[in-house]
Amino acid sequence: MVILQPKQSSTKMDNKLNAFITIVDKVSPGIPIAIKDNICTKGIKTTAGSNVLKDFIPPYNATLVEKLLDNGYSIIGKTNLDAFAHGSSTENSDFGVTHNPYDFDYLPGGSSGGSAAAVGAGLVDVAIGTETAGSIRQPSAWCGVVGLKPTYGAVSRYGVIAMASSMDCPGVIANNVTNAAKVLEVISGNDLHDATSSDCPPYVFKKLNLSELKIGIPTSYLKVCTPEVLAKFEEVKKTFQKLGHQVVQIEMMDPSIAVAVYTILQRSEVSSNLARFDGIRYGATRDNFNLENQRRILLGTHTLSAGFYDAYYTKAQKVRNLIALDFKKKFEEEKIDLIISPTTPTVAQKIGSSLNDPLFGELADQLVEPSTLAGLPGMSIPCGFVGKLPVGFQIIGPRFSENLIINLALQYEKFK
Amino acid sequence: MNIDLDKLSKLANLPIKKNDQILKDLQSISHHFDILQKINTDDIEPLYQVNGLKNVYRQDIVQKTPPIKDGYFTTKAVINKNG
Repeated sequence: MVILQPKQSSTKMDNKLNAFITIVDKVSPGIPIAIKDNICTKGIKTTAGSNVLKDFIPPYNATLVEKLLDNGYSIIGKTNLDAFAHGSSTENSDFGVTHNPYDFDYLPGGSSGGSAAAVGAGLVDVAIGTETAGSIRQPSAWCGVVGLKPTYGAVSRYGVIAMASSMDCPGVIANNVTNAAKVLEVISGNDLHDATSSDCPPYVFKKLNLSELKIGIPTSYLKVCTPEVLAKFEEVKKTFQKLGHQVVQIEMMDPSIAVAVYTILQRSEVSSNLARFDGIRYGATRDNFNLENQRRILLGTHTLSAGFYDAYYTKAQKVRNLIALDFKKKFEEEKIDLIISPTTPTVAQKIGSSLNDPLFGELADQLVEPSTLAGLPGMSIPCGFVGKLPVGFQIIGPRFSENLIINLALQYEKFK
Repeated sequence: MNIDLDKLSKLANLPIKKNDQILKDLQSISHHFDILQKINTDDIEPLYQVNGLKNVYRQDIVQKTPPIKDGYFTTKAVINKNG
């Protein structure tokens, strides 16, 4: 991966893909990396994909950016996303849709669609994304790349433009598992500037000799997948059996419950976090929020308002606890080491398909939402194609089981 | 779900134009919430955060703070009596 002089031409190939909002003119020597545009980069415009911040140039670097620069990485550009990361398509970006590198008529997924498309197209080996529920794993699956969403709190959120603070989690999108692990080693660790960051030491990769893991597949997750995706996932299951692991069906809560919980909590936290864009601190007034931003702010205002708070917000937080307990039971009582499933119920959808469905994102992300609500780490790994379009499967583990997940992903990647 | 869009627009300080469409969208999203009412959450605590951290203090800053009186930090007055 070490390329000391990044090819300036690679980002120029972006014209049709539209993976980047800003391309850095003079890239310093270093390992090229792209950064999602909701992460503050000192002196480089950071828009969050929204007209509200279209001219915002941060006076400081996010902690994770500072760490990358200190470790020899060099920023080649800032990648496209749904405005304020509201969505799973990049169609909600105020800077135009990003195209899927495997078929330009299709969506890359989102919200880290620009990062996933840039890596999928081979413009860069590694990119930073953020995930609140699916925004790393879902576009990684749709663009045929590796997406690693760490444990909540493993990577500092300082300098990441907040969406839903109790779930927001920066992570890595990469062309292979090893490169994803290398970047996680750099960006993880406690940060004084983020009181929710974990006091665990930074991640360090350790090679494990895996044998006879107990791998669970939630039956309820498979029910919502298309037959094409299920056929690819069946091959993944067989691969793990050939590798000597015990693959078992497990019963978990229906993912549609997580969709309801996540939607209430995410909208609620959005309405609070986006209150800061009041036209005084960042210039642009609140009429610059796009339709999807407006829907989310208004619904969140409703679920937090007097008379509805307990019925929606508190109720959702209680069910969130049940979801977390459901995972705990699987890992601790039923001795499941890791859980696998398709990352997304379908392959990439056509451009335009998110526009008339206000819940497009939540349905595309329903298989990653339960684990994100519990703060668990997860990784999406490519597992083949349906026609021209990639399919991904995910590995989910207990909190801070990144090393086990990465080792299993490496074993799969090597075997294939 | 009984949604009062004018009230929400005021509460959120958010000027909106496509009111009919937004109202229709919010109502269609909120149908997905019904499933939660069927789930028994008696004796279940809300899970507001997942990392188990409590009262995280910046020790480097806390140590530099002025003396504490009646449980509060004491500082010099920043406004005078005449306003």
